[in-house]
Amino acid sequence: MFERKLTRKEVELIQEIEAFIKDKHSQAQGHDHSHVLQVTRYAVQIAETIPDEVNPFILICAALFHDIGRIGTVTGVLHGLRGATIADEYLESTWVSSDVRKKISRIITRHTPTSMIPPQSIEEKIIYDADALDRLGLMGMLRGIMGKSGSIESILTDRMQRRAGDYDKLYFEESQRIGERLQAKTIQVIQSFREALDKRAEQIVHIEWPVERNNMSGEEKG
Amino acid sequence: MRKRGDQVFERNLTRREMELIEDIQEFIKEKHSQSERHDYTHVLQVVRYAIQIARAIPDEVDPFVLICGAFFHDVGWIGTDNGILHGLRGATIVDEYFDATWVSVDIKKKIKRIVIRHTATSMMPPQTVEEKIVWDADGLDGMGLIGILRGLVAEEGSIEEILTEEFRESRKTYDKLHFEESRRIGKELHKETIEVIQSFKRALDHRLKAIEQLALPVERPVNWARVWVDVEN
Repeated sequence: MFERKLTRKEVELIQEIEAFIKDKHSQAQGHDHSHVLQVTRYAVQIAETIPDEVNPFILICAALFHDIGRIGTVTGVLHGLRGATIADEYLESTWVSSDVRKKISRIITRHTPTSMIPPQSIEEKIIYDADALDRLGLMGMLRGIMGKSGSIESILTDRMQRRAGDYDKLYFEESQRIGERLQAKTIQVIQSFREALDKRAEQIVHIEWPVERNNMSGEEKG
Repeated sequence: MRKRGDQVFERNLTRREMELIEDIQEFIKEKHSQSERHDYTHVLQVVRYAIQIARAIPDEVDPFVLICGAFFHDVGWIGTDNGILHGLRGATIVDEYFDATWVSVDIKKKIKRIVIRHTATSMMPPQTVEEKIVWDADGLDGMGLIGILRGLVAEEGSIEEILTEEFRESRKTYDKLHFEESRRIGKELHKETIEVIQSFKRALDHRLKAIEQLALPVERPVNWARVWVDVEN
C-alpha cells in the first residue's frame, strides 16, 4: 500500500515529468512512451496491493524515468546508469530533496540487469517487476524484437529464452498474479512463432532442384 | 490438376550448371549470414517459391537463369543499411561474379535483369517470365506471420505504424502477383497476414485501454486519461 497520497505539488511535478518523458520517448521504438506508461500502471497496481509501505512520489517518478537512459543511444548496455544521471540532473533543478533524488536514481540504476546491481528497496523491486511484466505477453514479445539486429531466427530464439526466465524472477506475489495470464500468452506466442519458424526451416530444406538425377549435394538433407 | 514434374521447366539443369549453383549457394549463404531482414533463409525461401511457381505455370522457364536470379536477388543489400539502390547494386555484383565464370554474356544479362527488376526501388517492372517469377517469390516471402515479424525487426516506427504498413504491403503485393500459382500461395499468406495483424492490433488496443485506467494515488481523482489521451499518436 502507499504510505500516503501524492501532494498537489508532487502531482504538478509528475505531470511535468510525464510531458518531458512523452516528448523524449516519442522517437523510441521498442521502449516507446506506451511502455513507460504501462510500467507506471503496473507499479501503481503492485504498490497498492502489497502490505509494504511505498512512497508514491518516488515510485512514480522512477517509473516515468526508468528507460530515459535508452534515448539517443543504439544499445541499452548502460541505460540504467545513464538514466540515473539524467533523472538526477532533472530533479536537481526542481524542489526535490537530494535524499528523494537519490532514491529515485537507485531505482533507475537497479531496474535493469545490465547495471549488475540487483534491486534492494521495496520501490526498486516494484519497478523491476513492473518492467518485467511489460516484457510478457504478445506486445512484450513484439516490442522485444523491434529494432534488434540479427536474423529473425536468432532474435526470436534469444527472446524466447529470456522470456521463459522473466516470470520466475518476479519479486512479489501480486506481480506473479498480474503476470500469470501474460505468461500463459507468452508461452502460446512463443509456440506459434516457433512453429512458423520450424515450418519455414522445413520448407527450405526440401527444395527440389530441376535436375536429371538427384545430384544436388549442396544443402544438408534433413 | 497439372501433373507436377520437372518437364515444365524448359529443360533440366546440366551438371556444370548445378555445380556452379552450389558454389553460388555457398557464396550467398556466407554473404547473407550477417544480413538482418534479408537473411539467408529469406533467399532460400525465394528460391523455393520460384521453383514452385516455375513448375506450375505453362510458360517455358530457363531453370539456370531463374535459380541464379533468385539466389542473387538481394545481394545488393549486403554492406548497406538501406535498400534504395539494392537492385542495381546487386546487378553489378552479379556481373562481376559471372564474369569470373563460364557463363555467357547473354545468360548473365538475363540474370542481372531479374535482380534489377525484382524491386520497386529500381523503378523498372519485371517483364520476362523469369523476372516475374522472382518478383512474385520475393513478394510472397514478405507476407504472412514471418513477413510481419521481419518487418517489425527491420522497419522504423511504432508497432502500430509498422503493422498498418505491413498490411498495406501484403495487400498490394497480392494484387500485383503475376501467376495463378503465386496467387494460390499468396491467398493463404494474405489470410495469415490479416489474422496476425488483427490479433496484434487487439493486443495493442487492450494495452492502450489499460494505460488509460492508470489511477494515481491522489486526494481528488485526476483525469489522467485526458492528460495522456494521445499516448500512441
